[in-house]
Amino acid sequence: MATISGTWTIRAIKKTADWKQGISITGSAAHNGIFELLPGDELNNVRGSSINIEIWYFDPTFNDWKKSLQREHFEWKDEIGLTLTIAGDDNVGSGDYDFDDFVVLCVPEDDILKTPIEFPRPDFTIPKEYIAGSGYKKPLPGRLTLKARKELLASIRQSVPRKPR
Amino acid sequence: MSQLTFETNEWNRKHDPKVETRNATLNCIDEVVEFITLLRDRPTDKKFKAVGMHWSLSDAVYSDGEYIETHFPLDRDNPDIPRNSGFALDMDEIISKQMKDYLIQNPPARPQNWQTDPCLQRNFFLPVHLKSGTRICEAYSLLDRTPDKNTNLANTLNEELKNDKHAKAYDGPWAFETLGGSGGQTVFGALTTGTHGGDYLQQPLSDCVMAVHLITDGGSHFWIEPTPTSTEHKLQLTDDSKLLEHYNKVVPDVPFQIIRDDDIFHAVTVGVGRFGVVASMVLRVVPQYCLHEHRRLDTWKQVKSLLLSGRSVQSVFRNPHFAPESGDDREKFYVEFPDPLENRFLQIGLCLAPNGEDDHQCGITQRWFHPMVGDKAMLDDVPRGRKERGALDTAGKSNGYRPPEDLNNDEIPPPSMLEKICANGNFMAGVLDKVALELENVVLTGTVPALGILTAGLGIGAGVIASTICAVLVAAIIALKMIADKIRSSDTTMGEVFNDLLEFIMNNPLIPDEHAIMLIRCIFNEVFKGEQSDRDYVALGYAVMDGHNYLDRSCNPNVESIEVFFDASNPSLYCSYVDAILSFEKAQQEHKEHKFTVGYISLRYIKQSSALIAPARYADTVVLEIAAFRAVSGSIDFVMNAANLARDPNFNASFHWGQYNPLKREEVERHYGERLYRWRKALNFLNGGHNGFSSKFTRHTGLEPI
Repeated sequence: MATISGTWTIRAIKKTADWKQGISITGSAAHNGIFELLPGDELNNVRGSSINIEIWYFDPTFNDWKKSLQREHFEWKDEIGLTLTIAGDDNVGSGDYDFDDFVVLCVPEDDILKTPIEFPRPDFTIPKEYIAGSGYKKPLPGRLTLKARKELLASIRQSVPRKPR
Repeated sequence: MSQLTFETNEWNRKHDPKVETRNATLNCIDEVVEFITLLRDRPTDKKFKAVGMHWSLSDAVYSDGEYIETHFPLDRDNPDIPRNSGFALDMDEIISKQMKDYLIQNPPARPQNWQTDPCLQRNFFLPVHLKSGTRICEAYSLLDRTPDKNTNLANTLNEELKNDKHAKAYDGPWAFETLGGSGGQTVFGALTTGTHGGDYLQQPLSDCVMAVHLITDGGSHFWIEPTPTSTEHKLQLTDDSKLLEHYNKVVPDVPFQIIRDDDIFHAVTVGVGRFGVVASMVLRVVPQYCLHEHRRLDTWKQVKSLLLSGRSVQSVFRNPHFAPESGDDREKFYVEFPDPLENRFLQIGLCLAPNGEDDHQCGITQRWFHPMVGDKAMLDDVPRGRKERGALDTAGKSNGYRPPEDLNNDEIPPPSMLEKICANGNFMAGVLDKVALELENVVLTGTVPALGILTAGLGIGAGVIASTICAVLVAAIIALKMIADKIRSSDTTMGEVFNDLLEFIMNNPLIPDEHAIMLIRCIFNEVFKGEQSDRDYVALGYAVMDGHNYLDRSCNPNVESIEVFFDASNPSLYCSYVDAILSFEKAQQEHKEHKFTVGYISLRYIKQSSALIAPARYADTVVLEIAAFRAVSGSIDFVMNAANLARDPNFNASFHWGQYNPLKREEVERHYGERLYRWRKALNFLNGGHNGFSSKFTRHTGLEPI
């Protein structure tokens, strides 16, 4: 059972099983129950101090919902913030343990768990064409003439105070 | 003199800025009788708090009234100030017959003969009784100076073994099983707030305690041990009649009680000062040993993938770690160290500035037991590190230990990560020169070297280079050289250098913000690379573990720091937390205000403590230390964001009681649950209705009776 706190969006992102798949929620303010979900479906504003989420599947043999085995994985994504992926393996007892029958992604709605990074981020990398070696194509812009190089070195020496020797 | 009471207007915690001093009344005491009398006679309107070296960064140390100082840290040369330090009543006076028989039957081998880690080989130990104001550095020095400083118990045991092949087995020297990164605190001050090392096969320091002598509000005093059946060897440590003989009449008509109870014992060990004054404690110490410290640079993405691999850290980092991408030198290593033993320590230190891959450099430090023999461990027949860190004139009075091989290299900073920030800036001058030289070459040749500082710090991609880049670089070169020269001509700390760097580069009108950030990140990465450079050396355990620079006078008041504790068996959660705070740093660097943090994140791993409210509350616990130099623009925001995130119920991290600890009662209750209930019950039992040690902090955090 996965437990999260605060306000979250729960989104179905994968379903490979034939049987109906969904989640069971307990402990939330207004979203308790079993929800059948298809990839792309999402539940918004799922709120509570201790929300319990389980992956369930509909077993046609018993004509009833049953709890899947599940794995949980937190991940911080710079584009989103804290995420929780819950992956289910249905047909418990006879499952294939690949945990891809049904997967949901929980995404935070509270600011503290959202990414503080603003996009697009500045790109600080150096273009390949300026790097010495195989990718080198052209000198850096504003490259100095021989005369300017000499003046530069002189100016550096002059502008930096030196320790008395 | 056994008690000195005086007033001061300069009371502060060691890490507080000097402007934050307080008025306080201090009671410096070094005798049990004085502790008892002071607390017996406490007027109802007067509160107390016992303190040691004022090392805590937590508000837990503050009293609502007066202080009981067990080791007043100021005016150190004044012999008139009582300090409750050194050996207490010798264990030979109070040890039980069954424990003594056990020690006689299980004598340790001489340290030179140790081939297995004495900290993990649990049969051999010696109980030592120390006064509570004994500093850690003072204690490890005392224990290491045996047989000159042999306890009577050690001598008695030796006498029993004198005709045996184990003659002189208890001559020592002796050592702590584990230590934190600094030995400046008092032993009890450190352990009662949850202090720990990074020895992932061992418990925190508080779990080395075998008994405590506690004096509570009202003067009642208690000798407290765990239930014998719950101890490792199922033996009662002390003899009741002997205890009564020594303690029952210390102050007539004041009750003394012997308690052997697990909950009460494990409540008092990490008691956060709420129970009263601990006058002394018995610690389990082991035969002295050396440690091999091994450090290699790696990247966070690579290390994180190992942590998330589904294997425990004990398994992943069991062998010496090498990083393929940053130069795998294992062949050379195994020639020099053919038989390294199983690793027992792990620290992962992270660089806050992203590198060119949007990744972060990591320093991976491991340590394992090394026998006290051979050239690696000994120099001129003396264990390495003893002269420099453990002798009477160096313990608590010296820089962090550096292997002699490093001594000629002034650019190598001290070993403790916290102190690297504050170290003399000479190391930085070398880095700035190196960066300036590379920039000069770039300007002169018009090309960027493929394997230089710039490409390592920024990476190769599709970034945009300003058309005036060469002029920008010239401005940067001049700024870097000015700072480097300033460092060389004055006594500048590394923290001050960073501030200059941000001022001269970030606020330089000739350098656009994007290029200023690029340059600063390159420098930060280069600094980190130097700080966490590859190293392998062997020295005495305390010389390796205690990296504190006792000569530093400028660093400590300038550091903001938290330690938060996570379940190590849930790596996806704590790795997400690390990524979240790294993300905050990236964001604040890239946002309009361009704030930077000078600091670090480190991860260390330990076993769960038996103490009821020890923050090491998981079977395998990972501790994240987040520390930063206050004076730099982004540091406080960075640490406070880390604290806020750690408190979010999704992360639900516990906080060290001796570091910045903002938790409220309901959070403490959520963390410790039923264990807190048992802790409070123990407080009820020992303190009854007395509230002499209650404080604003204990009420805020719910460390109060039921």
